[in-house]
Amino acid sequence: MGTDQVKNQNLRLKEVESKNSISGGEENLEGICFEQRKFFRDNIYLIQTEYDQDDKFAQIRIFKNGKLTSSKKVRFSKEEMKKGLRKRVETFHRIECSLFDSVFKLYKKLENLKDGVAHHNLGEVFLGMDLLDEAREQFHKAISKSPDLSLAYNSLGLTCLKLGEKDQALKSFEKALKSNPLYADYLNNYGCAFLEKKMYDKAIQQFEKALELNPRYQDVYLNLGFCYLIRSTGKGEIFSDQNQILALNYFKKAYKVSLRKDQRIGRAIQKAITWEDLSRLYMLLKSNLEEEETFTIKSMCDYFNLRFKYDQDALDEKELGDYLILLNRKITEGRNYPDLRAGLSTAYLFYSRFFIRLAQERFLEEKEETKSVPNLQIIGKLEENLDDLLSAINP
Amino acid sequence: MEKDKFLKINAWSQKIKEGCNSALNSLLAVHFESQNDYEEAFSQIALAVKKDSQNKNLYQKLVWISQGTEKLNQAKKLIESALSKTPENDVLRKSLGLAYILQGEYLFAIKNLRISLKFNEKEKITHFLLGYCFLALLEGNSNFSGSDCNLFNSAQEEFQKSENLPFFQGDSDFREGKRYLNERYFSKSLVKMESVLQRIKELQVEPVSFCYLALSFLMDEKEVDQNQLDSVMEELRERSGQGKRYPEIHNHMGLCFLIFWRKLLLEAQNQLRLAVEKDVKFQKAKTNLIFVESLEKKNSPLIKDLRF
Repeated sequence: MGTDQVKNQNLRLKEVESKNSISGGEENLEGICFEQRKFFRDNIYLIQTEYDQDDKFAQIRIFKNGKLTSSKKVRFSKEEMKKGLRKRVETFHRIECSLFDSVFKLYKKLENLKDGVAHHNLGEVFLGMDLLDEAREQFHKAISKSPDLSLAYNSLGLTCLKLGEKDQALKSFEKALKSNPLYADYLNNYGCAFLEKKMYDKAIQQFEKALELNPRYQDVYLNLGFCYLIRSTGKGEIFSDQNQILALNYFKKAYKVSLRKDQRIGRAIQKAITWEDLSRLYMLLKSNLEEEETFTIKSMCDYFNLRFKYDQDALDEKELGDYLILLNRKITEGRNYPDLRAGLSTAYLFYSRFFIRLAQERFLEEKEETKSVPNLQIIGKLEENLDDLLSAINP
Repeated sequence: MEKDKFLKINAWSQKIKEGCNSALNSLLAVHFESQNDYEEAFSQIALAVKKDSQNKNLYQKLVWISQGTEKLNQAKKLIESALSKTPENDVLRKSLGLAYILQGEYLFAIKNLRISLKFNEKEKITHFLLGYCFLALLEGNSNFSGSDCNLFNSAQEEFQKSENLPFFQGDSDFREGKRYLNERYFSKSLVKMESVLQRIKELQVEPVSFCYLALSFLMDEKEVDQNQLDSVMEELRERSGQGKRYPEIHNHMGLCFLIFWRKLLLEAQNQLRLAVEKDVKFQKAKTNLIFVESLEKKNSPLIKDLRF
């Protein structure tokens, strides 16, 4: 197998157990499991999608060279369950597999280009898939091609943190901040690296700087609270310890700026008396924040932006339609971020091309009619204008 | 019809009268006809013909919209006046023939339809109309005599020539009408062919739901309603799926896709504006917004030239 050769074993899409059947109008979901292997640069990736009948969710696991690297859950709505779960699970599996094909294809395309930002975006996609070595490689390439790209240093730092390389992470965040000191995200990540190294004073310093730049940064409030919580004695009531009081105050602020107001948390704040109460409160707030996390959707935006730039001919109307629905849903749910809106607008522009083509096809069907000839000419010009725009915009 | 939609269309019709694209008048005519306001419908379609006398498709619509009213004579006059300028125009002749059919004057209809076929002998609908005239004349005669043999043969021949059009192939009334004709049940055949004739209107006049959508689009309503767009597409798909494949329907579907396309562009523009509003330093979004706005400027004049 050549190093840069993508070999897909697409044929091995199979159900591990074939005892599933549809009987009595009800779907038998026992043992639904799909597997597919992908080969890329001497590595074997196994994508496994399994339905857990007890907990009613599907789990997508990725194994690299036999080692589990990531696992994510997919929950289904009642509507989806009614429509046929087996098909839905299979669809999710196929989407995951085609994501692998697509990122490996992009990997090869980017090799000979000088686009550091594209490498960074691909790295983010790998990071979203929890393929940390691949992500790190892309961030290094991004830095070598665009040495001033602070984003790449920041993402490299995050990857190093996930890999447990704390010193390397600190160095990367320092470099990111050197190029762009006014980024609250970088300061928060830098603080987290200090937190990992148990250097709480330095961590607090960075978190406070981050709050100066963005006073509504929920994660920073939580991190600050955590710093004080961990520095406290852990004994007695909250109000006898200054650190615990500070931790509680930061947790209150984190709750105040959160998008989702969970009443359980509100009650927990009011009832917090001991160190244990504070710890529970922290866990609740953290899991609430994780539900709101934006990294996955942002890495999805990066993925599609890469496709818009380098793989637009292979874009499929259905996948783009699904992406639009997802982005719209996230924005409606409260993730009203400028970059998501910019991503949405780019997706609309590319999606619109399918409709101009459909219109063209329809006019061609009636090419003998007097109306269609001028309409075809007009649509030709509209398409030309749209193509000019799509090649000019920066996804 | 919903009250606000009705008020909106009335407001548009005031603006449209002041002078703009003939397509707008033609679309309004269909709307007023659906509201049984035949007077206003006729005045709109007549205005469209006046504004764009070269657009021969408008004359077919003129006849259909005047159907069943005393305006049919005025419609004929408008067609005749257009014919005096372009006597070799097959669509104008066909429209005049159709007007005579709708008035029951089959001999004049035959004369005009035959002239129309001289200029375009492959036009299947003209063959159908001619067949219809022969059948109507046959049906008028109580006893089938030797002289009617020619009418009978001609009717059969004309229907035969028209049946290659997918619209007729998929139409059960047409098939039954032909069968009755062959069996010499002329009255029954005429009833069937009469319903086919009325359905030809569906090919040449757009659905009223499409008219409202197209009017919204042309009157620069930024918010074209998605549900409305979906239901128009559904209606058009149904028409084209029932064997009524006809160029006009494809033109309407093409226009619907274009309307949807423009809606997406406007949505993209809107999202970029919101992104810039949220973060005034977001340079990428700012630049992209400039590009999208310039595309909108380039596209607007082109869209106004579309043929509806």
